[in-house]
Amino acid sequence: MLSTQRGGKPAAPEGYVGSEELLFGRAIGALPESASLAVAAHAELCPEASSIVHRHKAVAGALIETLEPATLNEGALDRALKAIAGEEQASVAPLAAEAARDGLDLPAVLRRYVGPDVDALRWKRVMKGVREAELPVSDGAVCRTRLMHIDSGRPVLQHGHNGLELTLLLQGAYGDCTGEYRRGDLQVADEEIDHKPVAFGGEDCLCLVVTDAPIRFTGPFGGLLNLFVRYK
Amino acid sequence: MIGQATAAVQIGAELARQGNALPGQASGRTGSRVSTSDDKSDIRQRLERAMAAVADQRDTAAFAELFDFFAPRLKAYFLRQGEDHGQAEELSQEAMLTVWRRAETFDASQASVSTWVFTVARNKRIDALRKSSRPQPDMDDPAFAPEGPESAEAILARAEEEDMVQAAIKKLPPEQLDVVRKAYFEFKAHSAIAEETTLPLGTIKSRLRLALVRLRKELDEELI
Repeated sequence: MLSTQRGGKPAAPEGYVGSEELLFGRAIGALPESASLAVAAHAELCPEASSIVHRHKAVAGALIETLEPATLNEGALDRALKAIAGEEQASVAPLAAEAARDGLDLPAVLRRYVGPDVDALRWKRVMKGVREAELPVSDGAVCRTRLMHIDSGRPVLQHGHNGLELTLLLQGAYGDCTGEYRRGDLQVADEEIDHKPVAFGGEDCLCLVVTDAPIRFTGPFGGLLNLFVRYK
Repeated sequence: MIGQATAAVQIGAELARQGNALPGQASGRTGSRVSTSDDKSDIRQRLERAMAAVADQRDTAAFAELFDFFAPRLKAYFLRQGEDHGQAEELSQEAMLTVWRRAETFDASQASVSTWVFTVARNKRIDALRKSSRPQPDMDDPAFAPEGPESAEAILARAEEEDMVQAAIKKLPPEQLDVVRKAYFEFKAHSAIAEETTLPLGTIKSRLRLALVRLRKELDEELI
């Protein structure tokens, strides 16, 4: 079974596609914008995830045909015909996106949030070797959505989760107690996971991270850190 | 836990989960799989022709045909999503106008007409939900992003897969059909648009997991 990453796995298994229910949620439109962004960007990088979303949508499409038709207001069709009368088909040419200037190969869905240059975002230092930039989403009051940059070889402090943390790896590689993650992998960490991700492989790590509750530091100085680092 | 290759079991979560349910892969071919164009249902061919006429000729009669089929079903979908009659009526109108405006983006090799129209309707509702709370109104919502590229095999198998899904759903007894419809259409991550609130992500994920587990359990129990 495709599973969330839970304790003790040596590495993300081959064909690992993150968490199945999130792909289902994406297909049926049940995810808030933050998670939808992470899952859509994941699907752009992971063909297997993309196929699963497609298949759930195919089921939903077939189910639409089986619904008992509801009664429309009188004149509904006339109203629609009136609205489209003389209307030319909207141009479907995609808006010419400004060419990326940062040389990063980001999923298109994420690029629209980031803009042409990742360095132009407002980056804030989180701890030594780790910085982050917040991305605006409609559910920002519930979930934080941000890019996180981790210098190669640098560990993020040991932490646990009060809620859910989705991490999509965009560049570089990192490992923790649950396995190793590479570009396109989506790690889903919940309350049961207490980890200390470490970037490895000589390349800096760039991740998209979505969290719905503050993390808690659990290393030797965790108690102290939790007092003065407000870090979701 | 993974069901045998019964067509009906392959729908929904099972279908989406089992890589070997993908038609077109040598190992996944079984006698239960439904083949393509020969038994493509009349209705599906009719819908495809109507879509082509709308896209190519701006044919309003063909649009009316699509409207007659989909608008009442989309309204039923929006009602199941918890919208009131007025809102469901408006959303189905808007979805059908989008069908007219975006008809030429429909690609019959990538999805059935119903799958494409479902996506339009799903996005309409998401758009309505988020309109009020968007930090940047002109931002493209991820809901509108196409799914990412798939393997060549998966793309080739797409039309077959859609046929298989449709055939499997057609064969479901009413009780199971109801279970599947509830899982796909009545999942509540939001309250109604008027009072939109978003639940914590962890809660949404747990509920989605539960919906999938329930779906599988009921289908397995009834069908194996």
